[in-house]
Parts: sequence; structure tokens; C-alpha cells
Amino acid sequence: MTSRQRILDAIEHRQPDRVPIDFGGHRSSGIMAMGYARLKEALGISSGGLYVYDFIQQLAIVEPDVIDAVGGDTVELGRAFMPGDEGWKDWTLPDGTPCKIPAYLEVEKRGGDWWLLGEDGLELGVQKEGCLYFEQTHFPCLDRAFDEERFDDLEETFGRSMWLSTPHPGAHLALDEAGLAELAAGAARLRASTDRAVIGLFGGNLFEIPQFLYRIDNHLANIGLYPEAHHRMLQKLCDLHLADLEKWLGAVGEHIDVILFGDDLGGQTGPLISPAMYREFLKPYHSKLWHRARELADAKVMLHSCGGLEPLLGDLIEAGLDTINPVQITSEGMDPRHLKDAYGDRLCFWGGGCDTRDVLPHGTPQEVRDHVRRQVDIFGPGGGFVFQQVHNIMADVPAQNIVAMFEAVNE
Amino acid sequence: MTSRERVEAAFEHREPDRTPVFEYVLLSPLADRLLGRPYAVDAGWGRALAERGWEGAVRQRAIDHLDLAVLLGHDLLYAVPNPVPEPTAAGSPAPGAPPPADPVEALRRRNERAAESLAPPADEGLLIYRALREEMERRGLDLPVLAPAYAHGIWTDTDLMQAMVLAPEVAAEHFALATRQSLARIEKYLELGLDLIGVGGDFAGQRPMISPQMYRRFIAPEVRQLSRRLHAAGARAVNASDGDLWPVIDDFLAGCEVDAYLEIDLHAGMGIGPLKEAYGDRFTLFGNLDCGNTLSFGTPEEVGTHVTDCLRAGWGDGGHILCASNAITASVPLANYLAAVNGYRGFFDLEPFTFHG
Repeated sequence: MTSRQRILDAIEHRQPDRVPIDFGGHRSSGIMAMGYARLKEALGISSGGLYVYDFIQQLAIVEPDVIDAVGGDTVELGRAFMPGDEGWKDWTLPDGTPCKIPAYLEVEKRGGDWWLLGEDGLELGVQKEGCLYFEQTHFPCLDRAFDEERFDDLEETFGRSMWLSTPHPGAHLALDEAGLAELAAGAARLRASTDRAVIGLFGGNLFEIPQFLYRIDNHLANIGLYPEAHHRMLQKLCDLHLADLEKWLGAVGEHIDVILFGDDLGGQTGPLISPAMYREFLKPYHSKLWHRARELADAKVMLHSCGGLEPLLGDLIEAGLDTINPVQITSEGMDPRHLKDAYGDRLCFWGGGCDTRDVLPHGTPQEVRDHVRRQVDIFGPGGGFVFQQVHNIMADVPAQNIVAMFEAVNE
Repeated sequence: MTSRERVEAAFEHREPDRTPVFEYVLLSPLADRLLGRPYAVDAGWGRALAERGWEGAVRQRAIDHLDLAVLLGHDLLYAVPNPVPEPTAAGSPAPGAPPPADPVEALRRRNERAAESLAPPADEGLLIYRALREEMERRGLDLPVLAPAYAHGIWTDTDLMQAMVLAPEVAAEHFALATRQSLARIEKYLELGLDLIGVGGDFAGQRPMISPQMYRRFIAPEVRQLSRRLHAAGARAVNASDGDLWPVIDDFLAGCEVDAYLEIDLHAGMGIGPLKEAYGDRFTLFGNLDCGNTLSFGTPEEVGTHVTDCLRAGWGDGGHILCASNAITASVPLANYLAAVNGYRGFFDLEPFTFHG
């Protein structure tokens, strides 16, 4: 059974030959660069390099040798672009480890802090000294009166928000004729070179983009205070996403197996928006995007959404979701047994395989193994499960725990 | 001028001999220290109840209210309805079903229960006002009493806030019921001779939690009904809400047809200077000493300057009553509170207040 078939069987609720594994197949299943260097050492892999492809989260490209070593079944579409050292420049991780980052990024060190700069030197975000990743500092629409907005320049504001203007390889290509041609060629090359399932990161965020523009407190208040204006914004966002979706899937659709959308809808204690408000504001647009994706490509629809989502899962499934990531099992309502029993026949759980908050960073290797076995025993039967630790592996996680985690899945 | 004349002058936008002063909500432990005993309105209620029984404890509240007002030279006082006697075990309501998760359904059920239980407040809960009147008569005092009929706030009521978006008719019913409940309370207050009534309720923090359109739609028409009833009876409506009210200030004051603004929140950007300039000739402003910051964390000198600045900003043709923007809690040091009292007294050349506690 190929990796691709293993992933597709799992999503379609057929029991694969073994539990499929995702490691570094998207921007929430990977590992921070500082931790990656230690993991390679623990695995005895000295070849390759250290490429920080998601600069905000400081994520390393997980190389084919490492994916093979852990039994990984996925690859991110972005690996088709910027191979080798061309397009990269030297940088140094906070722990002094040399690495490479995309050359198109503008970064500047001021004292002990690193700043990520946008056009005209705009301070998009900062990694304070001692911190492990970047935080957004500039919210381009912070002072705008929301209720009167027509959102005619919405797309232009993206360029002044850290999360929306700091692309990862692949997403750095414009969706114009030349960019789409390069996308299509790269996707075709990658597809031909691997039997792993190819994950295409589209995004299509609806709940998060207003947070990147207005800041989360204003965004949540704006929904309640100005519902008509919020609908106007969502319609505009959805139209922009749909237009991009047509072009993007036109280029890569036949070469990917999974299309990944993103929208963090939950927090530690449950959804950030009630089911009733989700149905009113987000579900119609999510449904429109996800159904259009299905029409345009033979790809499975995955949503990355952190947090306690249980009260929203029924609506997310109705909106057209095949698989949900990262299944944050320590959040309110996200008991693995309950999730599997209540939704396991309709939804594939892509994640929840190992708690990254407590067990993976703080447990012993044996505790990690025991925990992973329990999760696999619950989520694995009947398919509907792709193993992934709950989120990216942080820089300070012991390498022997990561090794123990993958060993336990592969037993 | 007597205290009542001083307060009347403020409301009628005539120059008083000095700005009226009071404290909106003065809590333990500061109130205990000033009184030299547990304050029966706050931390001392349980002890008063145990020692004096329910009626005796309520009358002790009245005594404590007035002792503090006299001690601090206040021109009016704010009193909330007193606790009613606790029901016997047999009379305690059985625990109900948990509220529905759906916010609209939850509010709809609350509305049903509110409609079924609409009634004037129990006379027992209003004993404090009779006790205050009797105690004032005994002492030869005549201080206006401000009483609350707040029912139109939205603060922390997430079911209500969502219903305003998802099912406006259910939210409107909630506010209409709130008005009926407030009117019933107001009728009781009027029977008791109270003529200064707090209306409205919290709807803002560092920004309003309701849009101007929704405020005009849901709240202003309801509060206006209360104001009109009070005015018809010769009483006054004092609209109260913390927070940044600038986006709705016209509706909050003129739209609600109230007489005064209470809980003016300096920390949220509501400066008495700009308010006085824009609205001081039509509305009386209560406040706005910054209890959350300057009174809590400033030095006594900073507090004194703050009081002086506030009095200067509010002075001119009445329309100003000095008090803190909200409750005086344990975060306010005694030295700062005394600095505020003496800042006022110094401004008007009164004898300094000396605390012997």
C-alpha cells in the first residue's frame, strides 16, 4: 500500500494497513527548527540542511530522509518550490544554530530582538529576545470605523499584516500567468516524484483574517456590534478566496490529494464563537468554499482549527469537511473516545495522536509511548485517523520523546 | 444652602454655594475603618443580621449609611434595596433545568420566566428607604436618596448580546420586560417619596459593547419610558453605565431623556471637561474621580490634584455632583480617600476632615 493510498483510505474510513503518519506535511504538523536539528542528530541523519520555511513559527522543512525515518506518509506541496539553496539566505536561530530562511523576507536585529519588516520597513512582527517565534505587532485596520466599511481595499490591507504577507515557499508565487505556470509545473514534478499524499495549503481563512487586520478583541466585538458590516466583509473575503481557489486549483488541483483550509475557531475552553453565531456568520461561507473546492479538484477537504471544537463539529461536517486537524485533545469537550464515538463515522481525525502541551514536552519516553498507544487504540480502528501530534513540536521538546512518539505509532 | 438645595441647584443648572458631593458605592474595608465598626451595608451585614435580626440589621444599614454621609459631609446618598428575609428551607425554589446552549432559546426561556414573574418589588426589600427617612427625621437631616432601577444593561450577558444579532425580536422582548419591571419598581419608589432614580445599566468597557444603531433600537426607547414616567411624577432619571460612551452619548443622554449621567468612566476616556462643554448646560454630571487608577494607585498629592481638576472642570452653572466614577473598593488606600475628601474641602475652604480612627 502506498502512502497516498494509506492516507486516502483513512480519510474514507477504510482500515489502512497501518496508521498513516503526517510529519511536516503542513504548517501545523511540523517541528521548530531548533528542535529539528536535535531530532536529526538523534535519528543519526547528518545529510541535508536546515531550512526555516515558516519563518513566523520558525518551522523547519522536514526532509525526505527524516520523513522516511519516522514512517511519514505526506508531503507538503510547497516542497516543490525553492529546492536547494537558491532563493534562501543565511540566518541564525536564537540558539545560535545556522540555518537558511527565504531570501524574500526582510528581517532586522535590534538589540536582542528580531523584527520582521514589510514594505517600506513597516514593523509587521517581533521575536523578542528569548522567545521562540514571532508575534504580530501591526494591525492595519485597527483604527478603522468598521460599521461604514465597504471593504473595497480589503485585499490591499493584507500586505500590511504579518500573517498575510509572510508567505512560505509555494505561496510566494503570485496567482498570475507566470506564477500559476510555475505552480502547475512544480506540483506536477512533485506528484511524479513521490507516492506520498500531497497536501496543498490553501488557507481560505474567514474567522482569522479579520483578527489579523483588526485584532481579535475588535473582531469579536465587531461581529456583535455590526453584523451587517461583518457579513459584507465575509462576502468580500469569500469572493476573494473563491477567485483564488479557481486559479490555484486550476494549477495544482490534479496534483494534490488534500486541500487544507485554516481558521482557528476554538480555544482551550471551547469555541471562540457559539454554534449559533457560527451558523449565522461562518458556516454559509465555509460551505461555499469547501464545496467549490470539491467541484474543482478530486481532493479531500481538511480544516486546521485549534481548540475545543466539539460543539461545532456537526456544523463543520455539514459544511463539507472530510477531515479535521489538529484535534486538540486537551481542550474542553475534546475527549478522544467521545470524538471517535460521536463523529468517527463521518469525520477523519487528522491529529490528536500525541498531546503537545504536557506529555510530549514534559513526559518520559515511556509515558509518551503509553500515551500514543492509547490514542492510536481509540482513534485508529476503522480508519478515520491520520496520526499527527496535536500541533507543531516546539523547540524545547526532547528528541528522545519525539523518537518514542513515532516508534509507538509504528509498532 | 442645605444639601437638598445644593443638589437641586445642580440639577437645575444654577450655581450652588459649592459643588454637591457624595459617594456612590463605598465598600468595606474602607467604610469599616471610617465608621470604626463593620459596615452593615457590606461586610458587616451578616454580623448585624445575627445580632439584630432582619429588621434590626436593615435599620443598622440606614444608620451606617447616614453616619458615613454625615462623617464625610455628603449631600446625598445612594442606597440599594435591602436583602429580604431568607426563605425557609421548604420555601426555597427547586433547582431548575440547565439553560439551553442556544443563546436565543436561552433568552426566550428567560423572557417567559420574567413575564410570568412580573411583579412590583416586595415591600420587605424596600424597608431601607423607610428606615432612612425615619432616621433622617430623627436626626433632623434631609438628604436626597438615589435608588437604582437598573435593568437595561447588557454587560456579560452573552445570550442577550447574541440574541440582539440572531433574533432581534427576542432581544426586544427582553428589554420591554425589563422596562415593565423597572416601572413597577419606580412606582414603589415614588410611593416612598424617592425622587432620584438610577436607570439604564452597564453596556460598555474600553469600548461600547453595543453599536449606536442597536442602542437606539433596543435600549434608548425603553429607558426613555422610565424617564417620562419619572418626570411626570416630578422625579429625576440618572442614567448609569461604565465605559466609553462617546459613540452613543447623544442617545444615552438626550435620546433617553434623562437628567443626569452617573458612572462617568475617566479610564475609558470619558473626561468631565469635554462632557461639561458639550452637555453641561442640559445634563447633570456625577463624577468622575478615577477610582480604578488615581484613587487606587496614585499618591495622596496626585489624588488632591485630581479632585481639584475635577471640580474645576465641572464648575459653572451647576450641573456637577462630585463622586468617584464607581465603587471605592479595597484597592483604595485610606490615605488616598482622605486626600480626596480634603481635596474637596480645601477647594471650598471648608475645615479639613480629621480622621481619628
